[in-house]
Amino acid sequence: MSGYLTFFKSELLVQLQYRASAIAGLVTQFFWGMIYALVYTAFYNYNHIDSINIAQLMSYVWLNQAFIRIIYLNDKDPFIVDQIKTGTVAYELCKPYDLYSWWYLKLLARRYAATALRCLPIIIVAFFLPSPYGLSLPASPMYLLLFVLTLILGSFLITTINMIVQTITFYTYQDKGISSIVYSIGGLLGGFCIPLPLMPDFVLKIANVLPFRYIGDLPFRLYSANIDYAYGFQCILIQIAWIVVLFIIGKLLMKLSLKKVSIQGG
Amino acid sequence: MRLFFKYLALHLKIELEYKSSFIMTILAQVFYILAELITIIAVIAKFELFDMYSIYEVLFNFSVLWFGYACMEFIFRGFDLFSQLIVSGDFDILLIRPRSLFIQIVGSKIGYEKIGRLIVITGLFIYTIAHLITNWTILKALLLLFVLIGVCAMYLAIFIFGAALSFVTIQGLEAINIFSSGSRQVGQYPMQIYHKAVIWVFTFVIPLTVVNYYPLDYLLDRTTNIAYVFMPLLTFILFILSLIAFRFGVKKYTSTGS
Repeated sequence: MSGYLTFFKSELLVQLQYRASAIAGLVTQFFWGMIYALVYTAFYNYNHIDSINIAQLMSYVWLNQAFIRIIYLNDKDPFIVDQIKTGTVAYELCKPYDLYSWWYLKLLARRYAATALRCLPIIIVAFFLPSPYGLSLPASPMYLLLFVLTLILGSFLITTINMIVQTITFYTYQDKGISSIVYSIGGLLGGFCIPLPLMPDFVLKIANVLPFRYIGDLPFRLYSANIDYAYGFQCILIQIAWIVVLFIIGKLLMKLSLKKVSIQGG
Repeated sequence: MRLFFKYLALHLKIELEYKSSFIMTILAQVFYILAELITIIAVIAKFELFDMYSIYEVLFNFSVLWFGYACMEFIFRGFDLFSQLIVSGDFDILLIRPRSLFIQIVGSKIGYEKIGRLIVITGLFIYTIAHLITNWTILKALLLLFVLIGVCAMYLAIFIFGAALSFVTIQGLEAINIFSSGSRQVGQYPMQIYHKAVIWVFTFVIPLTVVNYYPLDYLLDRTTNIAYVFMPLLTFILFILSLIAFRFGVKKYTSTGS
């Protein structure tokens, strides 16, 4: 276990080296937040809707931008994909580690390192933006706690999905195809393109039976109490269930693919 | 030009090496654009804005912007990924070859996976204008042509600006996405809903309104001012500026040497 922990730490340190790209990312995320804020406030000037009010929606937008790297759908380690394509993955298989756990931690560490560098500045600036464009305070300390908890669980959940997609690369030798299908469905039904409360009811019904909305949508709405905690607790249980199920599927899939792995090239 | 077609054929061959993956990517692209369209219509319906404008106006905005974007991503993907050439040092090789730099950069990458998008969006555009325009005139047809050329010039200019910037920053800039994808995000919705300042920015900084907002006025007979017909061509100013910026970057270029 301590071996994995050390590994997690070293991966974190490697990622923290890329500070310049983090600053560039920060600016990008901030402008994206502004664009969404502009578009959505323009809508609210014309009409109000029941499912979410403007303050809640702005919090949704800014939290999404601040924590985008924790819950970003299509995160892959280019190094791992490369290893599969070139065949150097064979060396990894010789090492006395569980490959699944290793890659899982690697992906997770990337997420936290990238977020550590960029979440705070965005949150601080977003707090001081004039109303209605800015981020509001959490509904209560209780909701803040739920937000943090579900966000962390959300990062576990998306990483199990990343692992499944990555393992499928073993079969297709190309990550583009499968990942673009999974992630465009996920983007739509997970509230990454447009916040889910703005979607029509039939889309929400489909979203409810898939794992994607438990990644980011759930924490962002808990923060502003757009989801109350009775329903929130129920969602957390579903979230945990998804993590367990997808973890098992991913592990089995990897076992299966390693059994008949044929190494690419030399 | 012959060289360009050679590049086209070469990249198609590369893509076809991974057939199943290629087909899946195209399907995903089509799915993605349809999903985008559905969400836009859903949001506009949710806020009950269809009283103000017809669905065809929304479709027009959407298909014009995506047409330009998909076209450019298909043919000029090389400029989009230009920073990779600089990081890897491959740009030096292009400089010493006795061929046009422009063609070589274009040929460094062709975005074949965008072809699914392009077909869907072209179909949607034709469907839209067939319903949108009731009384055709030659000037309206000319305007439509200018709109398509203009939107392409706008996105190409943004791509080239991004490429020119990567001479300075070396690393690719996701920041340039704000201009390409961000302007699309704003322009997909009918522009009337925005504050005047937003319209101003998207006219004089990014000439988005000249390809969708103002042309719609002419197409729907809200104005008969003939200047509106030639308005989309204003995007060429941005295009020329981007070429100047890029040329300046090439002159100042020093290799990363890796």
